[in-house]
Amino acid sequence: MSRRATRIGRGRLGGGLPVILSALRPLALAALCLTACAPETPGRLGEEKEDVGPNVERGRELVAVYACAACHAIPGIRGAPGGIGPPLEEWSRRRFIAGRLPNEPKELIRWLRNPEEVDPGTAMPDLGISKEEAIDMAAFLFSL
Amino acid sequence: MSLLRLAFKTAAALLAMGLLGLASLFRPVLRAPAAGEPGESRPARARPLRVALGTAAGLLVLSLAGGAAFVYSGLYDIAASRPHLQLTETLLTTLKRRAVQFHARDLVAPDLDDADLIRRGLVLYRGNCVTCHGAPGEGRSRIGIGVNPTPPPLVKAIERWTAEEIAWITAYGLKMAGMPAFGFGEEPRDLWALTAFVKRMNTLAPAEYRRMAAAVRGEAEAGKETEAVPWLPGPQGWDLLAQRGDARRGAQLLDSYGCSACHIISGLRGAAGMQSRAGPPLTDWKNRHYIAGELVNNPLNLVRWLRDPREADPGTAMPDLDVGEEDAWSMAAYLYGAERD
Repeated sequence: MSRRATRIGRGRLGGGLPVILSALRPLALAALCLTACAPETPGRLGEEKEDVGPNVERGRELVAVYACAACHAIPGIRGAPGGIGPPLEEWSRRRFIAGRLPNEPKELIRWLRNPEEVDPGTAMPDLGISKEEAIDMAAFLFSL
Repeated sequence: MSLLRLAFKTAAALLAMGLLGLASLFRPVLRAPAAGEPGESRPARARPLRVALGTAAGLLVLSLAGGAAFVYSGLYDIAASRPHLQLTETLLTTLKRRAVQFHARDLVAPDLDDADLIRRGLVLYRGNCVTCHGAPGEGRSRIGIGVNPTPPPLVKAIERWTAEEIAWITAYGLKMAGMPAFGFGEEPRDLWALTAFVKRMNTLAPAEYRRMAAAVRGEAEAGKETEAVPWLPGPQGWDLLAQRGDARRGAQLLDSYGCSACHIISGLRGAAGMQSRAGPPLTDWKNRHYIAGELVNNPLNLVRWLRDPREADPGTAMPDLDVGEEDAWSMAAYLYGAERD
């Protein structure tokens, strides 16, 4: 194979570029364009997009850690709820908690901390949520 | 821009370059020199091929180097408290499902509707499983909280997996999921006893579970245990629903009884979206597991609930609307048949 045959064009003082390098030029341009398209996912890669207040954000983390989304469909929290508990979308618009308590933060905190006392026979479990945690979780739910 | 974001963008770029390199196998990406120019000493087709192969090889090396750098950098967010990327989650879930299906294919379950088997299964479940998975009306302990992937509630396990798959997972556990391998138990049928109880949980109300738990703890009065505790599931009413329920009439009844005033119901507009939301949404009703958080959702219980909510749940805000029996069956038929919104 002659040296000339492995090169393309007449650049570089007539010697031409090695084949592989001239291949990379258009590819690099295309790749550069594509890097602009990588999706931005707020919060998922460890960066918070906007500060909505520490309570609500902490509440969101707690709701994720306590795996509420294992039973309830909750907007913004990924889970496999499967309808074991009712959906919690638009929570702030609901009138009742568990069909009996008026839906206000104080009552929601009471429910989260001791569901069996509010409604004996409920499937909602007691997860040992502390008062501070319940306050933040309620703040998150009322932000929906 | 965080380093992690940069790493992902670089990976996307490398992938794009690799794809273009592959595409050039079929269509020359470069313009071959025109006839007569120096450099045209090989057929025009061979040069793009070598370019493409060379590019692909180079990109493979770059990708491997990039991957190794990523792993060793420690940048990967390994915290269990933060979720996986959706892609990772989908891949792992699919892998889990397919692997369990494949490896459990030769198992055959015995008859699981056996009261003794279920009772033994309850004892094993409370001793081994409740701590991470919870039970109807009982939460997981602190051990099970914050585990990623979340140990799922098992009340619907028998709807998603076969009995043999559940047994396989129980015996062998799952890699990278924190699910331990419990083996085959002390007594010969222990594995199937656990499976039988997991199946039974699908039709178990929280109050019934509590009675069962009290019974095995020896707290039930002697001799009264068997009549108080429903080890086997009762009738669910699905055949009755097919016979007695008229879904079309049910839709009209849900309107005329005013259900849409409080509940969002799939397929019914109600008062043009002015539902008060006094009651929870009834969307996708057939996949809802409980009625009012207390009864297992089946046609018999739903009819019972519609006709006398206060009997089933004394403190409920759900009103007694004096629903006749035939009306209740038709309303149930509509709710179970309604497509998801």
